Amino acid sequence: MIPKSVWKDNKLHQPEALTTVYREKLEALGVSQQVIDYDPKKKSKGAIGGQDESETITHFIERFLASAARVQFVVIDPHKNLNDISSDIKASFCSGIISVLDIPCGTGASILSLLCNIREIRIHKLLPCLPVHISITAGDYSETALEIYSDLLTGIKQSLEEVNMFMDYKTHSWDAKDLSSTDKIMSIFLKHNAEEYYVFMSAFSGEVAKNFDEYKDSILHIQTRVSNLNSCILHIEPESNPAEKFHKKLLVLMNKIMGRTKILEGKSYKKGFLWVHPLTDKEIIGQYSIRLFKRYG
Amino acid sequence: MANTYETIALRALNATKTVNPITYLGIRCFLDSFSNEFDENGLDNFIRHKLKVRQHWFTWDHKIYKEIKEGEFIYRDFISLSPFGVISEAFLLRELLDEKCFEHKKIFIVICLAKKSVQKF
Repeated sequence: MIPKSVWKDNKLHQPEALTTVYREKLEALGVSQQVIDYDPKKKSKGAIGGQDESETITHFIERFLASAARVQFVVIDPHKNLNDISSDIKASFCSGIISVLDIPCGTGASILSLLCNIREIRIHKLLPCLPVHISITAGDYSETALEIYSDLLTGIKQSLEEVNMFMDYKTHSWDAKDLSSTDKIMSIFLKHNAEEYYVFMSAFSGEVAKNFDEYKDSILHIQTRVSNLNSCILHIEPESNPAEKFHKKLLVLMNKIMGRTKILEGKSYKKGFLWVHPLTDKEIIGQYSIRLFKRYG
Repeated sequence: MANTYETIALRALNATKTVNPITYLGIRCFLDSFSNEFDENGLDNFIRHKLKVRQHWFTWDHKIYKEIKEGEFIYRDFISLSPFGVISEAFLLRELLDEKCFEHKKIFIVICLAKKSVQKF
């Protein structure tokens, strides 16, 4: 059983808590009309997040909800073809103390979607409503993205608390190519005394697949630092050639360092899934490719 | 395994109903907050996961009445698990009972030995 508020007529609808903060932020930035005018069919790939303000805002306008829908589909799993992954995510975020590393966090579409959908499931009494404390360490190289991220997370904090989800976050400038920057953010992330360490990497393949060697050391470092802890590394990407390339390379690295890791994977069917844009009511096709690496320390 | 939700719920409620009414109420609240309709193995997966990752389970100290001695009320010191702890314990015991070594045992007792000498009862 899935809440009708997020899954109706075989289509995904974004949770109200998420769409409210997104809409408010668009209004504050004065770009609401651009979201309504944007036609994904005319620009199939959408913007790739960048470092400067204009690239970040374009990405926020064009890709935010698509990224959120992808994560939502994985959490809700309406077709029941991601059972293990979806259950695992829900089991982790059901109770206790979790430290989350959200990299590259962008403007927060993925983590917001994860939290708001767990909230929705809790509201409908489909998950236990036990207290869960989530400490988020977020990193990105765009300062504008980090500012938007902070505003959106602050915006949903109170609605999460209504269902016993207590969240705190800190944003950090993170350069994925720089090992020292990665080590710094890992130390902050692991400083939290948590039951489980969750590394959440979403929509990263576009850039990394092209220049994997430049990011390899950082990715390996992240895996090494969590390899003896109760940890999970979750990659959710759009289904595409770069994502496939990225995942194949990831698997080679994972096998090196995390031998006893449980690996779960899933891909959307060729047709993908449909989600409804909350501002335009347009129906849009979404696709995903996912890898979850789980380890009990 | 059929009907995990109901089996665990009953075991946890029965274990606390007379001994610890506050924990009993907590368990009722937990069950009320969760209908187990989302995913038929949801509770199984969730508890199994928490048993693997959780190192410290919440407990609370309290007293329960033992007897009146020379006009004084005497209480036993008790340490109780949190409501979710009791539910997880019920789940764990149920898992253990499926092991072959417990196959023909009619009674299964778990005792945590005290570190220092305490009055036996």
